[in-house]
Amino acid sequence: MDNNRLSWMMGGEAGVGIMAADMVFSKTCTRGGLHIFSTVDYPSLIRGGHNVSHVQVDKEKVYSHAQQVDILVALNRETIDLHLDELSENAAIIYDGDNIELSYEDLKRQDVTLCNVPIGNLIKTNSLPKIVANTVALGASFGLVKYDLSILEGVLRDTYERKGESVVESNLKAAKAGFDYTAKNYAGTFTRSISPIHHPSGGTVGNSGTDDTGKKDVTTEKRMVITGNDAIAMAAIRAGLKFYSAYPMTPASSILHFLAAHERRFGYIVKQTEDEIAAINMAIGASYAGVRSMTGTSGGGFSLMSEALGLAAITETPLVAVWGQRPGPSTGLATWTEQSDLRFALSASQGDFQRIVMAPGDASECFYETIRAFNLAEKYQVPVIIMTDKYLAESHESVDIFDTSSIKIDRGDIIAPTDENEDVQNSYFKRFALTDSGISPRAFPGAHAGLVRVESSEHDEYGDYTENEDLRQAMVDKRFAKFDGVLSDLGEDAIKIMGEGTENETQKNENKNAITMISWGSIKGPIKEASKLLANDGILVRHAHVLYINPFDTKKMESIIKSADTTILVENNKGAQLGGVIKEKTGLDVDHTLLKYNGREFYPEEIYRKVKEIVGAVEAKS
Amino acid sequence: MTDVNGTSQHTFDTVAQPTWCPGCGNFGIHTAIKNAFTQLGLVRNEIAVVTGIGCSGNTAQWYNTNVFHSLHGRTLPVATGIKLANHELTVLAEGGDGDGLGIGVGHLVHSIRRNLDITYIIHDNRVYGLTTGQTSPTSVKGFVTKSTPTGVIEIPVNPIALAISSGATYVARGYSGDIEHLTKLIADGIKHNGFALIDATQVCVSFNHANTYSWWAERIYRLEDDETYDSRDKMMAFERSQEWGERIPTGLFYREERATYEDELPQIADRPLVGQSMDVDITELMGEHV
Ligand SMILES: Cc1ncc(C[n+]2csc(CCOP(=O)(O)OP(=O)(O)O)c2C)c(N)n1
Repeated sequence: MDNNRLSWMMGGEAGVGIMAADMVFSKTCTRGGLHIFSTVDYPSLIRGGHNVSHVQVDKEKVYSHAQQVDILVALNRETIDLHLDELSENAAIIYDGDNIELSYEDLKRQDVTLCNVPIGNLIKTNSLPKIVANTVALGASFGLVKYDLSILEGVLRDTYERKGESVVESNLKAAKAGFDYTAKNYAGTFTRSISPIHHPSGGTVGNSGTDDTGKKDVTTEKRMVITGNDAIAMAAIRAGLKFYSAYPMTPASSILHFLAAHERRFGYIVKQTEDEIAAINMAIGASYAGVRSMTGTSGGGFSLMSEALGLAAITETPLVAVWGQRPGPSTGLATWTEQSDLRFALSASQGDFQRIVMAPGDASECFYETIRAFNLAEKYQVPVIIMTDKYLAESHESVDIFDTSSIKIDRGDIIAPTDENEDVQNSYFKRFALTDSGISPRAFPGAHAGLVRVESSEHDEYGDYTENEDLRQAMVDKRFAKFDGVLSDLGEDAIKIMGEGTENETQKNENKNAITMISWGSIKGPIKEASKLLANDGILVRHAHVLYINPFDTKKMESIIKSADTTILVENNKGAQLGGVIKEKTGLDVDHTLLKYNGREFYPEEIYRKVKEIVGAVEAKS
Repeated sequence: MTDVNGTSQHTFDTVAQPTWCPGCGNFGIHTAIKNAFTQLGLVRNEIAVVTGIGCSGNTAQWYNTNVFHSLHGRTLPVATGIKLANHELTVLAEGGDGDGLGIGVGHLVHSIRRNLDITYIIHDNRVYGLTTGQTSPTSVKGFVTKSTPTGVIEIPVNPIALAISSGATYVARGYSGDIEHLTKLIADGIKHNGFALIDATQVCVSFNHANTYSWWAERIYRLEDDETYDSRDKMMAFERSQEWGERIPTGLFYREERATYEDELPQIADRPLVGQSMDVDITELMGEHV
């Protein structure tokens, strides 16, 4: 059995603290030097309904969720009924036998450890409030896998500190009660374990260092536990964001929450608006006035934003918009995941104009590509759409502290203010100067570089209304011409290729590009995990992750498809929308498509099985 | 066309001439706004005018200031973004009654309660001008237009009552035929530290043959001429906002002092967002997520 690998799940009714437990479990593993990837599934309800946290733990970087569950913590009966099929061999179920009746006959299998923890009773005997049931279960989980209780205690302390000492105390007691119970009664029979690689108080385990700074952790490798949305928000702050306007909508809302929590600390303004139309128009106004601005929403909100996307385009006002996808049409599945808005993003709003459409695949990409999004938006004076989905936006990942030392802020061509010359200050600025590159230098109102005039109708170089046929054509051409530079700026990053050059020489020659998977956005993670599974079977896959869908690197995609024996397109939608883009741009077809649209992200196992099936069929033929 | 050198920075005329129909009420409103700028000694590059789409919205081209000719109904969100990014600018937004009370009415209500220091002027001609004469939110019941050949069924929106009940801190009605009075209302609105709404009633010589120059002239009076009227009394203001018919009040309906939205943001107490550093250190922030 693989030590230091674990798939842990906790389920219960909404409102019992599944999300809090998810974070505590994840941080406890991460602070011990392990990696995690966690998802929280919940219905669009505040109480009642079924919530599940699912955390993958590994000593190596873990890129996605997985189908199998090694420890199932059931705070209600429904959790068992719904997830029984997902239990791995020799898994354990942690449950309170006083509330949930469970027997081997029920399960129809004998390999599972039935870990009956009297959660309610432990709460009673320790005179704890009922609300700490989730913490007792957390303690019981770590006791079962023989982890270090003190790390859990540290996380609980940090998590509940702001709620007061008595809350901290009852959680510490609850955790210890659960931990001791399973350690004593079940840890011997359950064979899986996880242990810290290093201790948060410093140094590696077995060679433990001392904590000389007091409270702060001094781990050698510090890792954050963050979501894609957290990474986007952090990046925006680092990029010098000054204005964020949004209307709440899952799965974009946590960007609004994150940014709002820190607005005074970092000195920017967050505005929850009356609707998405206001949100995007305010962001455009702020950007015109000279600051970096951003808005965020989901597909429904973007439907309302569409008209103003064109306003940003024709006024050449830089704009960054985050688009967290969820299943549609209409309200669809509000708290689930899908990638079905790509075609809409590529063509939203009337008229011919260019917009950058980009889809990061994990939290790190969310961070670095958001920084780049701001730079591209200002350099090219175009709207930039960052597409995520519920899975990426809300799943937690352990990631190394971001390297911010090499980050550059490029605001593009801005005319410096001229304080002396009143004539210049008060005459019209050539905001839409026709230049060779198509990029016109910017100036801001009130910045003493001239009067800045912008117009949602077609306009001349000074931003004044025109219906002149030559000017109209020149302006359309200009707005397209400036876009030409984007792809060369992106270089090899427009489509990222993974899994190339990792194989040894013989394998390389035999297997070169035999299987190429093509995907965009959050499927990056499940494909990476599937690739690990396939590698165990000696199957090497190359993975083309289309990070930028517009501009599209047609040449690169052509060469990827032409050099592959078999291509498999993987998308979280019904219509194979990226496949359509590929066909439109390259004229080429992919060999196989793997599509999923039940509101759930792909499991690596599903991708693994599909590839095995295809490889099997290929081998049978030859 | 666009070279304005040689004129004082306190004059606001452009070389380009407005294209409105001869006799259009927009001329009066446009002139009053420029007069107000001049009277207040404002400087061109420190003003941002945001306009909507409509005959009224076209006015953007005829100010030699910073201008943003935005979308139909979206003047106020754009103006809000500008003001929050740089509150040192004088921000004035204007658009038609369709723009502000039809498609954009949601933004109006929220802008009012936000109380940013923005001056907002409704060109209220009680008809859709640019789209050649359909009914508008301020058209009276029974008004016959191309889109309502048998007469409007709804009753009109009352912008003054709407503003007062939404928590406006400066509410006035002016008339395009009385430029001097309208100028004062607008200048006072700009000086007012908060959201100022001026309902600028106007004629539309092409599409509104009911509310003509003589129709207005017979009805309007100035609230200032009524000694019993107190514009600090919200209830009185609301009551007077209902007066419509034989006599139509113009002037300042209501005014109160309330902290502006900007006032409540410590982030911009020292300087506007545009003047602030973009070099931000997030090391500590990242540490909080370990
Ligand atoms: C989203 C949208 N819908 C419709 C229009 C067409 N349109 C332009 S102006 C206008 C109404 C004009 O009436 P009003 O706002 O009262 O301004 P006026 O022309 O009377 O000054 C309409 C419906 C538009 N430009 N955008």
